[in-house]
Amino acid sequence: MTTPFEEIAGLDKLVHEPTRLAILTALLACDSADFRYLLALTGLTKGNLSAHLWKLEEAGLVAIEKAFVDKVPNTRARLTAEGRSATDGYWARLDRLRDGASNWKPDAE
Amino acid sequence: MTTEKLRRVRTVTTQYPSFVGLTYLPGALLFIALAFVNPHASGPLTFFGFWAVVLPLLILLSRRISRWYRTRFGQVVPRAHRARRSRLIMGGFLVTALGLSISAGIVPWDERRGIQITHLMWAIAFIAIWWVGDFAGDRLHLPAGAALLVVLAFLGHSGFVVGSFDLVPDTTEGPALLDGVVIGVACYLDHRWLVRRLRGLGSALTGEACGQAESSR
Repeated sequence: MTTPFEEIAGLDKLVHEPTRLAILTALLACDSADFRYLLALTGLTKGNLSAHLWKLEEAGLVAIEKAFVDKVPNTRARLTAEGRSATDGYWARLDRLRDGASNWKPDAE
Repeated sequence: MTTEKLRRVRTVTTQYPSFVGLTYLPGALLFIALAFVNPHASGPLTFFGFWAVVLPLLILLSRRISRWYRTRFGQVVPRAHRARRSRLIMGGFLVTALGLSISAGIVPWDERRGIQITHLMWAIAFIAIWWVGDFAGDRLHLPAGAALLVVLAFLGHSGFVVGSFDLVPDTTEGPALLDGVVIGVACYLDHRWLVRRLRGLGSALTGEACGQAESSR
């Protein structure tokens, strides 16, 4: 049986990275959000946010759509079904870990 | 990153589509403008002339403000069940407004009844927006604005007499001006709510990202 602390090492690194986790959590709370909103929310630079979104898209967690709104290019991001279950699963696992860590005693091992 | 910050990310994103901000400010301006227009005027700017000129201008202003928000803070499409809830509220609101307009055409209201109904509709709008945002505890300015409008609807200027001092003069101009101020303040507080939440989150997240980069060097 593994300790809660050993389980932390098994968390998905792609989702666990703080900025990407913030992006995924924001997208989990809505259907889709545009690039401008994610920029305002995270306070990242355009290049940095693009790089994170590209990584998430490459992993199949996020789908990127480009369109024109009022003749202005608009980039929207939404979670794929895989991304939604990965983020949901991550949160459920984190909650379990937190409960496990608070109840964990060294003697129990 | 603390789970508290991530919970705030989730809360702000959930509430963003129900965000009012300054887009309703033209509604406040309408009330303030009404306070300065005499409904029985017969000059070049008659009461109906006022509606024909001012109303399109205010609608245009509202559209410009919401466009500014879109370009400044971006857009969020809510989850399907929330979008349905918003459509339900908006539909109900429009049907009620249409019904009231038709009934006002058939049975002319007295001025006091008209003011009461307008106040109540604004109060319902604020409560409905608060409901779409899951009755968030940090957006209490919306129910507070609604409560003030209800007080104004039923007590009117007579509710604002302190001792022998009448806070709102005994004319229709006074309440209209006060309504405009109440709606304007509620809108401004909602605007401030969004700007503070976004700035706070952005700097917190970026600060942590920078801290991580520094420690990994």
